[in-house]
Amino acid sequence: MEKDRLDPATRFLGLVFLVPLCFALVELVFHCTLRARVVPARDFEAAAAWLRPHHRARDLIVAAPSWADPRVRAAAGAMIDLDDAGATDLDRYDRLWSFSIRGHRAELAPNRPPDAVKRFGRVRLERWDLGPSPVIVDLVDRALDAEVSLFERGVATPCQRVTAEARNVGLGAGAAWPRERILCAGERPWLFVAKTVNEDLDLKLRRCVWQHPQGREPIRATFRDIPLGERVVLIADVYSEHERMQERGPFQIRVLVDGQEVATMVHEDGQGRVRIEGLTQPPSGPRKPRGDVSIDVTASAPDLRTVCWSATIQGPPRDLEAAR
Amino acid sequence: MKRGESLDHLIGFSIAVAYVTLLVGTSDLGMTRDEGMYVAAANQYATWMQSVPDDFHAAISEERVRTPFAVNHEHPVLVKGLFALSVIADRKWHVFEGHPSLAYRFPAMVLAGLTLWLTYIFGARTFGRQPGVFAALALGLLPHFFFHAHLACFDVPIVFFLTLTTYCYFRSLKDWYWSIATGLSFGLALATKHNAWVLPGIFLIHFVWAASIEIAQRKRVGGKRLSLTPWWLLGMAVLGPLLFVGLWPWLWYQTIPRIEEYVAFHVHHEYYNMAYFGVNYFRPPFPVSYPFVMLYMTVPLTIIALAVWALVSRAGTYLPWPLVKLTTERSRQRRDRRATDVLLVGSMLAPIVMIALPSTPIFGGTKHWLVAYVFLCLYAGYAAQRVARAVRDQLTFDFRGRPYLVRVLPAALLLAPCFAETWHSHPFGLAHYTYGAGGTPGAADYGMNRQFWGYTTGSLGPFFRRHLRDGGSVYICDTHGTAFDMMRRDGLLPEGIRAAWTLEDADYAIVHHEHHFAEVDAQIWVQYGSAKPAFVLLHDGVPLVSVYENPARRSFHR
Repeated sequence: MEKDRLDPATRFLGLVFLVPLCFALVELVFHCTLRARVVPARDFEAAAAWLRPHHRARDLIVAAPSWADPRVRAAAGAMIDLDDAGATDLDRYDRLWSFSIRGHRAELAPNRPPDAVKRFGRVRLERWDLGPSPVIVDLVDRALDAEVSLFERGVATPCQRVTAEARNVGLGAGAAWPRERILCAGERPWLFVAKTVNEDLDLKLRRCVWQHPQGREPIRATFRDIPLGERVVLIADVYSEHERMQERGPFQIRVLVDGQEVATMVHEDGQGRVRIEGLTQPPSGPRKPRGDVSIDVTASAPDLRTVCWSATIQGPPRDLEAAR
Repeated sequence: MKRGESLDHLIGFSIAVAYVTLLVGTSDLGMTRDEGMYVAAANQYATWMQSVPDDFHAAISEERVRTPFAVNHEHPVLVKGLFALSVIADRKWHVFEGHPSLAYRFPAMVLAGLTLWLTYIFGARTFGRQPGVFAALALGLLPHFFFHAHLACFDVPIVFFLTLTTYCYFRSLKDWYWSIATGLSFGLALATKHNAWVLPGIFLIHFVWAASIEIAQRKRVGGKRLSLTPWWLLGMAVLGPLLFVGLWPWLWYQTIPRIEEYVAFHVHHEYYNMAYFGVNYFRPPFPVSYPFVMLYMTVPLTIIALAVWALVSRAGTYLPWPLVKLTTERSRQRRDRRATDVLLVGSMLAPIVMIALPSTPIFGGTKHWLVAYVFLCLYAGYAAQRVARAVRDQLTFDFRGRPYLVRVLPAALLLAPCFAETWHSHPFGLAHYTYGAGGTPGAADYGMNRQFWGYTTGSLGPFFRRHLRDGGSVYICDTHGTAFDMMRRDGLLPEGIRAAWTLEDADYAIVHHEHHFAEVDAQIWVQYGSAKPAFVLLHDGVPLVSVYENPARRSFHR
């Protein structure tokens, strides 16, 4: 039976009241679409299976967006070691692989289209060819080969390599102390040098060398007779919770090549990761193919200065934006 | 009680019973960190309560009160006391056999059911039965409310007591004897959580507003509809503190210093971490937009749209007159002398504005303004009724034979997103985001908080049953030790596993994915020498928990 209670204009206006019903329908459709578009584990696994025979040394695998990183590590973890999981730049790598979902682009990707793309269901595997890595020596990898000394009143006391209990676990604990470390002072067990992974001010994880200062005089890590390349690149900060309140004093890092300072940094809280570069070759005279590189860390107020640095000896820089 | 009122309470009661049944039936939820602390406190209280009949005078002595009530004394005891009574009942009658956490959670679930009952009654008294039913159902089916309604915490109980106090105050404006109920419910609210402190301020603002209308109306049309004497304030001032202190044995001795300590704890509450648009906030100033954006991202859009529509269409009832003139004439509505909309809007906005203050800690996500959802849903119910009427007017067919269909079908469609979202969110309610965020993956893209309280450990049961068949140990990251134990006793986790407090002692280590927990991931990588998780727990494809196997202990389980 037809109704005839409202005039057409009023009925037309009444349609506005039906808008919330449209909202409900849109939400329901969205809900179903979202569930249908969840990326299944098998897509990550298929991409990882394809990548396995194509993977080479100096390949970096990342997730885009970064929150999908645990899923990528679960599928392709055999190809992602600690150094790769804690990588924060592309210096050490020849190629970048990105497991991309939901149309995201890898944070580290060069600002150009990928050189190769392959689809596995909802996962887009993208590759960027970066050209040969300029890194000649990675000092983080050689952390345990360093000669480490603690200076007190101008006298250097050598530190000893030990195997000790691993320490630091839980929220607020900071970077883990690995079992293998070069320990400088037993009564101050935080004074050691070792490779670890640190949480930086942006809560990103970064592989680095723990080298806590002891005061105005340095803890020095020296890498003997290593190729000098052209420049040394060093990145340093402290554990996020020791920096974020911005209430502690600065720390200093000096990089020395054969005893000559080539780069220096004064790090203030709140700066996060700070990058410095220095030339490893003398400005004039013959090139030195090899030499000693030392890293000095000091702080006038060393309490909770959980310094962690990564450094590489590099050749000429490359242009990541240039297509290969 | 009038016949209509009896029917209203029958409807409210039915909704409450159905909701509690639903909550009990879906209680397979990992225990949260805070629940772990309240369980520990409730156990202490239960022991004390059981000692009271034996020797009353000894039991209430300072010495006997100090030890049990020192536990978790930063929060009042009413709700924890209910948990304790429930546990005593369970010990005696085995009500919750095989599901020990339900003994603690059940009182809070009942209070959640009562909240829906009360929401319905409030709606029925202000906008009518249909809006009341819609509001109660919408509230119960909001994903975050549904999650919190399961927990042995104070966040939903305080919603009940705040709403109850507001309702009693509302009634007291016409009938002075409701002032006694206002005082009593305020005392219970104070004895539940410190959120109650703001109520007198909200009521005072409303009362001044309503009194000014009353005075003006008396001059214009005469008649006395509202008492200008704030009896409710007297009730709150006298009965509130009496109940607060009387119900909390900890305050029976050294009352003033202990109240000062309690107030100081919350006034100077430490700041925790909260991720918001990719930034990890850990100290003030916190973003003013936080509660508004989180509301938009966690409440189904349909409910927000309905509420906004209702608020706009009723603007004339709660905006000051100069502002009303700026709105359309059509929005001007006849003001009731109790200024009901002013009270409802004020009660809705007050908790949100409190959290929006840059100095207020925001560690609890949406739980701190759950009470706002009661009033939001009341307005959604009002608009839903209008939608149903519009549908009726638009239809070319006459539903005269079945008029209820015209009411029920649009309401059902409007509630469907709530139902779908909530059903899907369970048991990951805290991690769940709605349409406004683009779902949980959309929220992850925006860098929003993923979870907190470590409750998602409870969803790792199937993994550990497969991999720790003969028992073992797990480093439990953000999960509270008591909560982990309860998950085991509930059968969510296998019986034979225990919590480990170092990575070396653990067969498996877990990390709950929150921005500031990244460091735990790194600690596990360094200690286990691998960044490959053995398992990743997901919600809508977004990682919630990664599980790592300790290679040094692998041989024990092969």
